[in-house]
Amino acid sequence: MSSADHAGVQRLLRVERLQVRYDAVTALRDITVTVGANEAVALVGANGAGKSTLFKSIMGFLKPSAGGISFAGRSLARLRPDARARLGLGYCPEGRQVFPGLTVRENLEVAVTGPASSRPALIDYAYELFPALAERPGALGWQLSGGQQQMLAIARALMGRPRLLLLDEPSLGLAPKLVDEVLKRVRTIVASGTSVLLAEQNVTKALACCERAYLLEVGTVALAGAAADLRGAWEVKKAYLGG
Amino acid sequence: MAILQLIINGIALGALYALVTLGFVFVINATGAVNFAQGELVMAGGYAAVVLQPVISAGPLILVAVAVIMFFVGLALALVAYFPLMRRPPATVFISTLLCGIFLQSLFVVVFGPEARAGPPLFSSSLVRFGPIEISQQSAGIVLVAAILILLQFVVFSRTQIGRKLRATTQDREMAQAIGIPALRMIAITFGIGASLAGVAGALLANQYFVWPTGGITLTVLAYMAVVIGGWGNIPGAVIGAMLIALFQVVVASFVSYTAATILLYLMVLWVFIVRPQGLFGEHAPRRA
Amino acid sequence: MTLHASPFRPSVSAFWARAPLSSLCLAAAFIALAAHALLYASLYDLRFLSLVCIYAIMVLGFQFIFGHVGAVSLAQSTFFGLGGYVTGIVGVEFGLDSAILLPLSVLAAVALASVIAVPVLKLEDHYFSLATLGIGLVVQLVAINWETLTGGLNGFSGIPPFRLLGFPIESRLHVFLFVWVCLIVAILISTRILNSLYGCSFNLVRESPHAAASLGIDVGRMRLAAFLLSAAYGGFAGALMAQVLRVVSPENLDLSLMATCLIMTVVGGSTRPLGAIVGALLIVFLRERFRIAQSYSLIAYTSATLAVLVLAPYGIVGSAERLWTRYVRRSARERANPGAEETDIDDLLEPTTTRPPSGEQALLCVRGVVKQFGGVHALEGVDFDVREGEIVGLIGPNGSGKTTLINVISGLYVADTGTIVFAGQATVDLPAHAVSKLGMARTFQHIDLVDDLSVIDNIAIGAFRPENAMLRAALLTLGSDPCLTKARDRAAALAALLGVTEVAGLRCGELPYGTRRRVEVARALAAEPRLLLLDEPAAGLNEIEQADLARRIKRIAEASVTVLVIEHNLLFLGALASRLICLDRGRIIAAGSPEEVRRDRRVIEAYLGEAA
Repeated sequence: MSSADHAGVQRLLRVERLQVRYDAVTALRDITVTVGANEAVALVGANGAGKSTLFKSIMGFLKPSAGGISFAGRSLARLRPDARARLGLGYCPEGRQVFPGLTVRENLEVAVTGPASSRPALIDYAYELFPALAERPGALGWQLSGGQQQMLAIARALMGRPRLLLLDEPSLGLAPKLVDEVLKRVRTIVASGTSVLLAEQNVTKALACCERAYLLEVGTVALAGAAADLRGAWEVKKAYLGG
Repeated sequence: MAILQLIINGIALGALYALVTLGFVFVINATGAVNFAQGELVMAGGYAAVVLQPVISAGPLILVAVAVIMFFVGLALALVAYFPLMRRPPATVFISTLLCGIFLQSLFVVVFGPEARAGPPLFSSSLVRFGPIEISQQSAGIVLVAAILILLQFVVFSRTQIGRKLRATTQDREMAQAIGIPALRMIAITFGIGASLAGVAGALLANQYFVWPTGGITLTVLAYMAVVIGGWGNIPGAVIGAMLIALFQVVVASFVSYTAATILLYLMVLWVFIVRPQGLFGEHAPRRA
Repeated sequence: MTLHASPFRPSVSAFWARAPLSSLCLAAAFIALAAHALLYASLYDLRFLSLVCIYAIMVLGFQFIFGHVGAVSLAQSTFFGLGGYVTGIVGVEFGLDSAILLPLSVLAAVALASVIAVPVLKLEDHYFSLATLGIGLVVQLVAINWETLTGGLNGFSGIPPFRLLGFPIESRLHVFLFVWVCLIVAILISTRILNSLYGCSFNLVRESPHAAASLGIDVGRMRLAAFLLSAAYGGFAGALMAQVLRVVSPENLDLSLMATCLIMTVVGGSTRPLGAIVGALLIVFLRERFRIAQSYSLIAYTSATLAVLVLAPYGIVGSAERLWTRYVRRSARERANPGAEETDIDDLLEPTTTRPPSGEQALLCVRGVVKQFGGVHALEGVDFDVREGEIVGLIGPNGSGKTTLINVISGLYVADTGTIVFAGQATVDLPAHAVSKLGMARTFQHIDLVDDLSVIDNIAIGAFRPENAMLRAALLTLGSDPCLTKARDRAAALAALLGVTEVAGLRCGELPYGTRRRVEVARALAAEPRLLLLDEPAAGLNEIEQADLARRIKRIAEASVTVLVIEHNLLFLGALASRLICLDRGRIIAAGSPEEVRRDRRVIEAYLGEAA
């Protein structure tokens, strides 16, 4: 039932008994989540379950009232969001948030934290991952469609060569075909050395591309385990639809 | 050809106004807040030039020194008037910068006295003739410096990584942090640049137009108006707005009194508000709240 | 909807939660001022105190636009100066009685304000301030340059002293007493306005214009009223100043006076009348004290004001009041407990027959609504109806466009194409407050209550009715504002319905989330809407709170109101809605009874993804 946590192996991301209050609600309660190197982990649950809150806390936009987060062995407490990003955390938020006044190319360039010489190669990698971006490199962020913005946001998050990518609800408002395309990239990204923590409402698709999963319900971890196991348990959880 | 002469004079004045406005619009974009002390920063630059005059003789060197000094003054302003009030409504920063402006004014009176002072001539004041038109070297120098700085800011903002980071920070501060940009540092730098530009403008105008403690307020209002005309937050628009205001002032003031020209200017800006509130070039690309 | 509920009478703990402390302090201050003047004051002191009273009146006016509405107007000194010049010029020229000069000056200031208000108030904050500044500079230029009229840069003297209905008021003591009485009158008017339902609503206009508009409050008109009031007070103060000092000059309307006004307001407190007195007293005192070294003192007190701005944003009086209420209220803190309210909702509502949905024209008719933001297509042609008496649930996964749709319906956004007919009227082009006035009220995802007001007052704002009637009622009736009393009674009844009676007197800022949500629903109901839009009311509530809220909404809806609920939480909706509509990526993909929709394959896919 509990996640296959190898006691000896150091986890890339370790969220330990986290409690976060947000807007006078206890949004997260006693959350323990881990992500290892080279793996994709899904975070599923209904809207309001706390997935985005967890991501914001990992990135440092929300302060926990209890518990701790460590990344690559370092505690993240007291680190500001930009410091955490430079440590190797990539963040692609729900709602994309591409820079509206920058072009596609500039959105990618500005996110490169390495030296200027590494920029061309990284941008090429972005275009390889999402060829649609190469079609309109000069388009401004706000002019792109929802799907294009999503791809740009993911690619941008990868420009800092993160070790872990926090991907929050990439399927939001996208056509199913596009969702498939985007989620296919998750495997490619993991293969190239970046772990992925994927928050998704769309459970089936999320479980299809990840090895492990956590089910979040009203701010706590209700189920955790290998994706295959959860897929089965999911039939039971369909009951939360009320039907 | 009198009108051409007026236009030339207007362009020289417009170049000064453009420098003042540029610094002003950068801070607006970075923080959403109006820096009401911008005019006093201009005066501060002028006073700095006055102080440096016995020490440095070369005009361009004075400009560089003033730019550097004013950069730090800008950082100080950010520390005192902006960062402590970041999470409050923008009106609060308006007031805090207003208070800083008054503070600076009083400081000027205490240190330099209430009378107007002339800054050092940064260029020779000889005249150059092009046919029926005379341009003083000083005016030409002002336009040249302003043009260089405007071009420089354009290049920096649109082609360099730091420029992109500054722009990203103004558009979406949280997301900028999420990709590793130290947003607060960027904002402080923006204040510094804004103050530098204001200071250079002050050093440039100090010789011809003098500096005095309360001279800043008209310049702040001017920058404010230029930004409204050009489109709130729109950088090229701000420069053009500044030029238009200068041209208007110079041309109209040759027909009517200076006072009447100023009143007409204010009324015209009010008219722009009503008829086309987004300015000539529209507001900057949408910011994320 | 008929309710059995007793009228609202504040409990003892709530009494201390209000601000009668301020009133006590005010009264004490007035008596102290008068006593000092009569008993101890020298001629110099009397002049000083007169100036304090005059500045306090100016600041009182400024508080309306700056403190209560939250707009930084830089024209207050202009109104002050204009009042002074009108009194001065007309007084010198015609030697009229003060009983004519004073109202004339007020009229002049209000006239100027009306003329500039129309274009200027529509502007967003940053433009508004500049526009008021620009007006001020223009007037200043006129004052300096129209020498024949205004005496130019030096102004003019020889303004006659006060003569009220024939009686001269010349000695410094009498002048002070007269000005003191004027201040009392000004404060009485201010407090009457602020203690009325009308004045209460300023808070919501300032903190959340969207929420205000959704309750039918015309934010623009409220701002205009505040602006005109500030002008009236400013002009009045300026006129008094002219006849006290008997001299008027451009100094009476320049920017340094505006800065002084701002400083007094920030330091004293921008929303409490007592703050106006404290601010004026302190600043005038400091100015006189350090008159010799004026620039040094300016350095000192701009720094001090900055410190106050950062550390005590509510000013001296505001901060003192907060400390006091926190200290006093610590003993009265209570928590809302959904299970344990005094009267059950079923007992509160009269047993009415459940109204069957009426068959003819739908209450709300949405056709072909499209809304785009740049490249993002939020709504791509939405068609549906809501009939009177229904409870309809609008569901859909995150990002499907539910909130955009509700914003379009309530008038916050304008649809790109399509029509919306509500209560027989086309509403696509109407502003939000006009749509609300037709009988629509809503709640928001992010709860927008005024933290500093009590639960009852927050709910009462929902009962806002045509402004003019309310303002008149506030000013012209003796005793407490009848609109406010009626609104509070209604609020009490609604509080009982939503189970928040126990915390009715507490500040909303201190309440837990679930309670705040219920207060917000009560506020929307106070507007007596025909259609109630609820935007994700269950978000952030635990299961007990959700069930409780659903039950209450269902009972209330059966008695009086049609409801459209947006939710993604199908469990919450299950008990509540009679019909569901499912949105996905900007289009309706399913509609029908809850059972049908929940089993619809497309709905399941939209939420969970395709079956593996």
